[in-house]
Amino acid sequence: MDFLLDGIKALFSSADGWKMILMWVIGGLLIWLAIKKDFEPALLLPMGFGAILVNIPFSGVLDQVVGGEEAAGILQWLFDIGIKASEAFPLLLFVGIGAMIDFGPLLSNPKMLLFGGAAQFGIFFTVLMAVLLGFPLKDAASIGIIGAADGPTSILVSQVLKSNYIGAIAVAAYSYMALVPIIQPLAIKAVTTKKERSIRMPYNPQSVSRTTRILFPIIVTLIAGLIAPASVALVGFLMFGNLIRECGKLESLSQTAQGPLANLITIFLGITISASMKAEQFVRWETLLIMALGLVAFVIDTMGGVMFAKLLNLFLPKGKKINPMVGGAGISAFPMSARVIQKMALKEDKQNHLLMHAVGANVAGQIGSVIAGGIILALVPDMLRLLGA
Amino acid sequence: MLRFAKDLFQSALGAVNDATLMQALKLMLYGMAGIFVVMVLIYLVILLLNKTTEKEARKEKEEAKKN
Repeated sequence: MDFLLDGIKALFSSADGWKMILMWVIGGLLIWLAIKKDFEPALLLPMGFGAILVNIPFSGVLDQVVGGEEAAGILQWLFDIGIKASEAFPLLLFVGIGAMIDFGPLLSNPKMLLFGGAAQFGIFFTVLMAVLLGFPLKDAASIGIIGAADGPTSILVSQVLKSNYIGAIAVAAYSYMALVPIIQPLAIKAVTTKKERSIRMPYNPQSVSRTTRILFPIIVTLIAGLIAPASVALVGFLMFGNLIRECGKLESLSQTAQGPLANLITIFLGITISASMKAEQFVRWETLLIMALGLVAFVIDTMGGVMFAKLLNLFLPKGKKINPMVGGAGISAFPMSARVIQKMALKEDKQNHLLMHAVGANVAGQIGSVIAGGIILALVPDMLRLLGA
Repeated sequence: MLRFAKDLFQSALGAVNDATLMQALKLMLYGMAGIFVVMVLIYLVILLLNKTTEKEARKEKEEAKKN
């Protein structure tokens, strides 16, 4: 009857046994954050449960040799097929996200695109910090992309660059996205005055034709593809989803992409990522550093957008000034960031409605983050070759 | 400046490699420049699209009002 005790014996006799138990606690913590605190529950709950699944000795969800026989594991298979082979899960999720996004506020106020660019600064600042902390460039670039504030992009970039920290990066990306309502107000208040936060911005949207809405995703894909071909998969799938939404002929497909497709992929993406949360890969000092760097990325992203708006204000006439908080909405965490800005604006001045400006900057951040991901994928492999890594 | 940053961080996971640090700075420069180039191009395209379809947009708005 010894076989009944094999798992327990392995847990307590193995040097990594305590790490496995710690991973159960981390898994439990993620599930608690998802249920009790409502932190990105759709992703953190599957990841938390998956963290427990993969950290049971001889776990049947992973490929391993048991009693001399090689056994295939479902999570390992999902990871190999859905993420490792073609990054299919994060990309398919982008079709759903594209179908959910209304680019109207951006098309009627295209200046907001600049904030979607400026608020990616945290990505590159964090890459630099990670290199200074001694991470190799491929891992530093993967850690920096947490600042894209975009889970699928973070997973895709860290997977393509073959980072050793994909699990920690995914946890950090989704955790901080859930913490946007706490992180952004602190970061914005640190670099703005009350007077700046009270600047009013009248909203006079330009009418946008259906032709513009249809041509926009096609042209963005062409521009991004010609300048950063590595971004084609990311931008292309996002814009494909948006084209389905805007064409006006595929309502049923649009609803499917926004609902059932996005939900199905989300279920499997979360639990599949947990295949990279094995104790020996996750329980190390670097994971704590990655969590800290992820926070830096979100803070500097927000400050980057805000400071860029303040810079523009130096050149804008009175009455045309931009409320710098809108710049902070240029991160990709949609729509939380836009809501945070609206709430902060109303707190300073009950008549100051910035929501539509912030939504414009926020959807621009979606475009900015996938382009940043594409640029990193285009540049870093060449840099790694130069470094001989 | 770089020397100061290196000394300041020196280093949680091992010595900082000068060449890697330079590549990270290059990535920051090219990355931000690349993003802004793409964003400005998209901005110009939106302006052009909005300009060329102005009449259509106005017509659609009026029709929507009627309905």
